[in-house]
Amino acid sequence: MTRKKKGTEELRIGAVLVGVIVLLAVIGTFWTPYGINEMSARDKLAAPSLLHLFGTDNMGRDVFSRAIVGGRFTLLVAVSTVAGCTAISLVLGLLAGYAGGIVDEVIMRIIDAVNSFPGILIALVIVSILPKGSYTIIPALCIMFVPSFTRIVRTGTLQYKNAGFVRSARVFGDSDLRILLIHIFPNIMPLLLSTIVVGLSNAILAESSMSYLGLGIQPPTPSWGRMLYEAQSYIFNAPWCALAPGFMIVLTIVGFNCLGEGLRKRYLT
Amino acid sequence: MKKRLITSIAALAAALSLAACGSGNGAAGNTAASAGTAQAGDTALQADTASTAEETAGKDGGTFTYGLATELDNFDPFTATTADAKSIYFNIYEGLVRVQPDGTFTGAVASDYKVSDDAKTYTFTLRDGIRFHNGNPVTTDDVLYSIQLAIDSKINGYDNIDKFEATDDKTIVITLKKGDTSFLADATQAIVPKGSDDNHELAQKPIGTGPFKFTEYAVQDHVTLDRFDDYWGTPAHLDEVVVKFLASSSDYIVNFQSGAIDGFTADASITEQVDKNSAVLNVGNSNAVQALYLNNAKAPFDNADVRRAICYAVNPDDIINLVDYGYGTKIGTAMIPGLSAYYDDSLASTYATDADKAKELLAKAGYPDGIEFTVTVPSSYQVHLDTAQVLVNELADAGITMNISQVDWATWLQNVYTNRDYEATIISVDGATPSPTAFLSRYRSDADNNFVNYKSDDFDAAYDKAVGEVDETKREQDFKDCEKILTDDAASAYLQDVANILVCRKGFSGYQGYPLYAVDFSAISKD
Amino acid sequence: MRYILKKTAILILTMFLISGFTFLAFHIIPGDPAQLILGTSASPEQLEALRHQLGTDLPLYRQYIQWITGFLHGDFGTSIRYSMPVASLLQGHLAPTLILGAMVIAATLLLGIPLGILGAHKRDSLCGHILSLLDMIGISFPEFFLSILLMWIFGLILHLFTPGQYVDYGSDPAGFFRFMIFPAAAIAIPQTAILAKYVRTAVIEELGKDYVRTAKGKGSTMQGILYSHVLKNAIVSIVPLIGMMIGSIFSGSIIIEQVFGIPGVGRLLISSVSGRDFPLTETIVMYIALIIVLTNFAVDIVIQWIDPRIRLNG
Repeated sequence: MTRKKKGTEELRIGAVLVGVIVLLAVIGTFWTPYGINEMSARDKLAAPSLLHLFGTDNMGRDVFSRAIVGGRFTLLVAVSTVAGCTAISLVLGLLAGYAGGIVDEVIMRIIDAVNSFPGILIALVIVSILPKGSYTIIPALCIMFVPSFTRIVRTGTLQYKNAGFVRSARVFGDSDLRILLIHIFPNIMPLLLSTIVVGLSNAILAESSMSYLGLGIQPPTPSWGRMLYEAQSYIFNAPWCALAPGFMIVLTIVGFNCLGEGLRKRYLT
Repeated sequence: MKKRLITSIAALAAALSLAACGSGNGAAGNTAASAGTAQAGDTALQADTASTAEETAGKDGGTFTYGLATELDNFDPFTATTADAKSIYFNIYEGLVRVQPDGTFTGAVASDYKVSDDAKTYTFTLRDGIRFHNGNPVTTDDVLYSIQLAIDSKINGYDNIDKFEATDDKTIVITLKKGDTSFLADATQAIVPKGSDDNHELAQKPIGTGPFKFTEYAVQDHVTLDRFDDYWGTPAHLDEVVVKFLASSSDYIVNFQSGAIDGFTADASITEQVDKNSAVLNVGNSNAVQALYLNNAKAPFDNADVRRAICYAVNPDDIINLVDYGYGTKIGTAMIPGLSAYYDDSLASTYATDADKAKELLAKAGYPDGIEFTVTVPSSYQVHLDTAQVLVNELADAGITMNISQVDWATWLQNVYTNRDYEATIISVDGATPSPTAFLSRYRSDADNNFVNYKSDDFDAAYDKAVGEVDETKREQDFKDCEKILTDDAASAYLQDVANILVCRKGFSGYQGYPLYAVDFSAISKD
Repeated sequence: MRYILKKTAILILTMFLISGFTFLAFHIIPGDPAQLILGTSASPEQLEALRHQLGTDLPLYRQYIQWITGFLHGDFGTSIRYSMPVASLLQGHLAPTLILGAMVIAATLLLGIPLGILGAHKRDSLCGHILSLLDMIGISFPEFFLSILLMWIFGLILHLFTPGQYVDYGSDPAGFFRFMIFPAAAIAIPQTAILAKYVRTAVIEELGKDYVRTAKGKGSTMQGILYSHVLKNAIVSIVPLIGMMIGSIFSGSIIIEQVFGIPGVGRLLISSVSGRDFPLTETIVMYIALIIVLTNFAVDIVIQWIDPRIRLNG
């Protein structure tokens, strides 16, 4: 009897979804059915058809073309934000949880302070002090997301640092760094993976709310979050304007979620 | 009484109708008209005076809920000077005179007024039996208090007052330092009870003489206005008006379609989304100058040829069609078509769109490879953001790269408007009063609000000449001369007077357009 | 007792830190409240007069000292934008936000934990697969997209509620809850999915541990093991999550209040920042900070109480 490897299904679905979306984004770099800024006063808010797969928006631009190009910027911002944020949080969270004492207290209180700080204020500060550019959004979003990530890592660390297997590792003379990396880190991965997936979806949406303050991708370059935000006014007459970017976001997150779950099942259990 | 002044402003209504009809040239405009669009001009022409509209109106009673994407937080007529605030307290406060739909002025708190020939002395007669919302009769003391308050609050035009006094218990005489034929526009400033605003109490508890009185204010939610039964004129039809604050202009459609609001005012990109079977669209002008404003002090825009190149590269008609469904009036200078006596519409065709001409001018100015600049757009205005996106395409055809940078409104006011630290911006500039000086004074080299940093001795001289002129015909021509200088110098790339459309649920009628941004609830009635 | 005292001292210090951050932020960002009130047609004289009246002509550090002195005496100052006391403004806006938050937390806990346990218990059956699929979809719907969908489908098409027509609790409690179900759902659906997923992962992990195998070998029933040991251990990893959720529910509430037009603290916060209303922003930030810090404090204590193995350095 051959047993299927754990998590294969999830990995397969995830790979297909993420693959398709990344492929579309790559294709969008070289070719789109219509120019992303090609406007037409006659074809405003046209319903989906063979000419315009996802219809057109309020200025007659092709939603499909904008959605695949928008994916590139959206994914780039979301993935790099979450990657940066995970790296920072691992350092802070492992340090706080493992070292404890005054280190823990200082890190966590700063985390609390940042956490209670409204995102809009963080964005306004960043936009005032950093040079303008499409990617200054990444540090801003990082600052906003680090608190919740760090807290997850710290809690996991606390939970395992006195566990039997960690104690025995210590008895065998493993260094603190080795204990953190080999024994504690794999155990907090499951919790962290879910946080990463949710973080991706939050980053995609947060990008659009920040771009209003001059952070992130500026129009006319499309991003999914912006497209969704601007489609609010047209939800009654042209729901496709909101549904296209909305479901692109949902499918992307489902894809990443499946990948994460599959990886976790295969390697961490 | 200076008749000529009155006639010249009377032409406003006709201009409004031209604006509305002239702009409805696209397919979208025709659809709207067939779906029950009442053009503002028609209304204004039918209604020579406010009272004509009332005869045709429906039954009394009912509540009208009006949506407003700007949150009102201050009802003090001496400090709340934003356009949205004014559009609402138009119903609560009245000045000695008030503006009529056709642009003429009529007595309000004053039943009658006289203007001396040199436009220096204005004599107002207090209306008999007029009362404030708190039930007290209006006295000359109240009027004098309000004028003093307007002077102290530095309201536009009041610095020109030499002295003001009550010669008897019915007559107020205002003497100006310099003759000013447009002071009547300034005399629309609210009259409030004596002592009522010593500590800015009106900000939270407005008291005026208008057809509606203020009854309730829920922060971030709504303001309730009730009909004032002791109003001196024809009382309003509606029992109650609720002004509901929405978080942003993208909420208008959902709120209207769901029935949460009965009406709102917005630009065509939004109003075209309502279900035409349930709504009547009343087209008017926003009475503001939308332009791609260029910072004349910053290179490359310190070169007039570069600015002219921009003017040749842009196509306002395209913007009106793409962004505003064909509604809007193309303009070529810093004056609204609504002030028709002072507006030179021939300037709109000074720069016929021509990308080659633009490239040629850029090469002449030393930029053969084109230029690149950033336009700073306040993100709270979707219409300006959409305009910017169309402009990116148009300018690209002429080899000009424009990058958009959005900022929040507070940042825009500080960095762009006050500190003038920007390259280009898109905004609609309105006038404090319906007078030509309100639009042109900011282009004087030394003006505090000259945020485009325009500097021209010719303009300064022409402007001073126009302001000093007491003869109305000459004055009109003088202001047109000023406009021509602005256009020829390409002080900025002027685009349009964006159409403002009042959407009203079917079952409500009586829309009144004005040559300023005002929503007259007293004319609206429930069928 | 010493632990509590020490924690309280740290809490106060954190609050000071946060108020200082806000002050710094206001120091950096551009914007003039007087200009915002008067708009573009104001003259410099008018601006100067209003700045003086509002007290914003003082340097910001003096405004901060003024505010913090008042704050320590229980006076939160006067809002610049609304020219009314911050305390009474906040009072009017607290109820909708707190009720919304309570509805979301209740729904999340009441649905998320049972669904998670069920999912773990039936992980190899069809039911379990359907649950994890729903979970995955739930997590993937951003609150903002969800709220647009809910408004469109339930408000504009099915007419089950009137989008935009917020009903005040005081005037019509039934109408209030009928309206609030939809914004609450927009926040609760993803949060429930997250919680259910965590619970399932935690329970499955516990079930795989030696002590469960031993207990099973000794003949204990599955039910017994599940409830007595597994849950207790699983909860240790869930409690901190619930603490964090309160934070995300608050930030979610800011977006949802904007979309649904609920006059709550979130909307007040946005308008106070965009109006550069220093006393109001400071007070709201402090308020949110207090909730977050207290929740984390409570979470620490609860974890220690459930599982004394985790030694907290206090």
